[in-house]
Amino acid sequence: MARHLGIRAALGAVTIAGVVVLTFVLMFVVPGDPARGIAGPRADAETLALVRANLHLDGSLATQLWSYMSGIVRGDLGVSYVRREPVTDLLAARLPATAILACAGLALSVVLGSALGVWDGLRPRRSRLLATINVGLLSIPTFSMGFTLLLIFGYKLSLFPITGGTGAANLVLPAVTLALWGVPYYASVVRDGMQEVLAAPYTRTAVGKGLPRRAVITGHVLRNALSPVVTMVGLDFAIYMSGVVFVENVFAWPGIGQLQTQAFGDLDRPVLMGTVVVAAVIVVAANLAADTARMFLDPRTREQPA
Amino acid sequence: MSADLVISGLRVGYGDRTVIHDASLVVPAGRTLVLVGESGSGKSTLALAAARLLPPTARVDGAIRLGDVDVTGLTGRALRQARGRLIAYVPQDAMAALNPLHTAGHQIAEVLELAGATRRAAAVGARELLAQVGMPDPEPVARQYPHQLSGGMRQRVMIAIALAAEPEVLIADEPTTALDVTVQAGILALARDLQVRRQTTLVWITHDFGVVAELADAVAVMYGGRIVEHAPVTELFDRPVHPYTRGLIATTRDTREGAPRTPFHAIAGSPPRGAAPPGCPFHPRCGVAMPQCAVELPLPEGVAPGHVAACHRIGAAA
Amino acid sequence: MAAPTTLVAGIALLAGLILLALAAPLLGSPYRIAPDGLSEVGLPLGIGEGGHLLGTDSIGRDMLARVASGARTSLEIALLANVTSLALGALVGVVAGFKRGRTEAALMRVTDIFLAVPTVISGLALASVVGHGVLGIVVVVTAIYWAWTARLVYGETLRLSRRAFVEAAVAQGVGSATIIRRHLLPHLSSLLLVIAALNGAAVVAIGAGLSYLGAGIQPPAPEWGNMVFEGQDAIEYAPHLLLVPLGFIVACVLAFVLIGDGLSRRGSVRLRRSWLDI
Repeated sequence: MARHLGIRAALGAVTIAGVVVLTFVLMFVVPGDPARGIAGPRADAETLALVRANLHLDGSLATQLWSYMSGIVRGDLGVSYVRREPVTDLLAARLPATAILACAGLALSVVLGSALGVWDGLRPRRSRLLATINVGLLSIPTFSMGFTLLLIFGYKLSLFPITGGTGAANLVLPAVTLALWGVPYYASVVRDGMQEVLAAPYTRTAVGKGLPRRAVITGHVLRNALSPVVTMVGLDFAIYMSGVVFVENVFAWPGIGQLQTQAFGDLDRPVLMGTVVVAAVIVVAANLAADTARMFLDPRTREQPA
Repeated sequence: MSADLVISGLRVGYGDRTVIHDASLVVPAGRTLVLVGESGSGKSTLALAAARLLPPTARVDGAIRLGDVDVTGLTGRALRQARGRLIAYVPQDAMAALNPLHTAGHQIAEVLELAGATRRAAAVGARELLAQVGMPDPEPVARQYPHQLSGGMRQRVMIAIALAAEPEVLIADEPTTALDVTVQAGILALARDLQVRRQTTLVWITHDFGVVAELADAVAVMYGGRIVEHAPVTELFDRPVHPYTRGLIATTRDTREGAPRTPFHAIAGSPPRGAAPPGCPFHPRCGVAMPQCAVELPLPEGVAPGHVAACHRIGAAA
Repeated sequence: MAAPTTLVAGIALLAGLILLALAAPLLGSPYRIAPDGLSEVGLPLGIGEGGHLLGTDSIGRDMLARVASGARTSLEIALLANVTSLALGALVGVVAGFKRGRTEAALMRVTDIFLAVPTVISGLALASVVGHGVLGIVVVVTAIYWAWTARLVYGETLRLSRRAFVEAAVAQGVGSATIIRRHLLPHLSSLLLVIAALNGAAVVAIGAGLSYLGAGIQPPAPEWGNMVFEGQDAIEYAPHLLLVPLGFIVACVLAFVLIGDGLSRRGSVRLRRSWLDI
């Protein structure tokens, strides 16, 4: 088991390296002169040369790439063109906020979604109402959902603050926005899982033992139907993070998503790249966590690589 | 405490499809009945009906009684309490019938805990049961998951689960069909042994007549959702009446060394699907069918003590 | 919802939006500031006011003309980005799933790289290089989405490759390209159709999202996403500036989702059976 995870971790590292190389190469091909952008349109040649040397803008692609990658290993993601601060510091300052938001939204999605999925799965006929609501909610892009909630609960009903901040009250609407995408998704997955398990031969065996209905559900049905959810959460993390970015923008939540948007507006290359790298690391880590969880929950996956 | 298992006029269907048209038989307490038939004959359905494990969409008519308990009429709490205790069922596919996320020991112990044992006592009991079903070293088996066990071991685990509640009747649905011959021999030996020790009534379903010879006290032959012949085992082999039974016996070959080599015999045609033709269900494939067979359904008749068959030729020279 | 109803509803909705997009030239220019487009105090006109069916925006431009033009843009992007990401993804997926070995490993590694970064984050980084406009956003969206298709097609191809008819063709020495074309693609077509529909939904959503964030299509060019952005400031006194384009985004995504949902459920009508009910 440890060996399998070791292999996956190594592959993950390869993937991250690939992300770094690919993104770096793409961003190197920026038209226009960043040195001039920083130094200002009236800088002379000498200032420009200084800026270039300082930010390592001279030198070949390979040299720049190498110095960047060795920097990452040391935890150095370069310096923001615009704010003159190390990118790592900027990201580190904002990471906790994103983490709180992501966790809150995820917890809400998974718990509520699974509960609905279990309820729908146990019903003799699937709930048409739930199915319709699901399709509807899945069709509303995250930022649209965010605005609608902000409009209703923030502006019209004044239940929640409409200015940015990180207090608990500020967390509610963004977390709910994230959840409203996740809930229908997990509800469908869990419902399908429940149906499959309820019709499985081993459920018949459990019933045949004379176990009461509740024991069959808790001992046999739920665990088999819900354990795939944990894996899915990890594997879907990339999609989920996109939603987080939008929500941070709509609700002015000071996380790395908002930072990335600002960096885009400023064409702040180091920050854009740095966020890409950090995001890739988070996603790969989430995938690994999902793999580990799957091995714990499903003994069938322990021996061979999936 | 042992009672006879009495099935009378059993009829099972799904939607407008009838799988068992009319089945009646008696299994005396403590005896072994082997139920033989091709796929589609309804034998599995009969087993599931007796064990009350048919899907909720099944329509069941007729009666199944164990002593003075009306098995088909049980509901609710009485049904739940009867499960496993009156009639236990061992399915054909042990892999699918075991929960992949629980160890073998846990799945056996679960039955014991339900009967009131403490967790520790149940765990110990599970290992004892594994020893009884022929595992020389039960401990590692108890701790393994179904996917880690061999086919034969899984089947023994299923039998252990079935035995855990000490059932009066054990119904085994082709438990050895998917296993190789040596493993099969072991399971059959286990079945004989269990019956001697526990006096359990055994209903064993198979399509292999070799198993009949090894295990049966009595044999019932099913075709097209009906029981076409039923007799004590020696009587059946000595004087098979129904043409289908005779065909089946002829298809079994003696594979022991030195046995005379007989030509390979097969029964032409295939079993009925969907609505049965009028008259005898077997008549399209029967080598000795008479005009009457296409029109009138033959009813079971006594041929000899304990021996019934449903064939119009019984009156005529067989 | 029953599958046929879902499919029909989705197609009807999409058809309506296509009609709107086609009618855009007839509805007036989205850039033109209408005379009397603003109220006396300089505020945008609301729904139905002053002959403007959907009101006007903060500069006095007709909202109907703008959303119609936006429909045109969004559907154009949806079509282009869908086709390119589907083609690229399907190609990679089929080749990787069929060829196996090193080709498979290499291609799946590349796919993993593209899947490792959340779409918006990589979208913004890419957009900073590619620039604004329809072409730019099509390139960005293709780069983001091809990998999902590749993975799905890969999985299905693996399953198909194990089937007897494929193994038979391989044994007969039939060339890979022919096998892919004649044996695999037809069986993949229903999956690809569903992917195309759901991809369409995702593409419209991310296109609007990126434009909202400042990438993609930027003002004064009308696009639903950047219209939402512009409408943010007027949220208190003229919420329709926000809600109208928002509604159209949702409608368009919903149309694709309904189509995808309807298509994917056409084949499977299973009877529910629960052993708890016996």
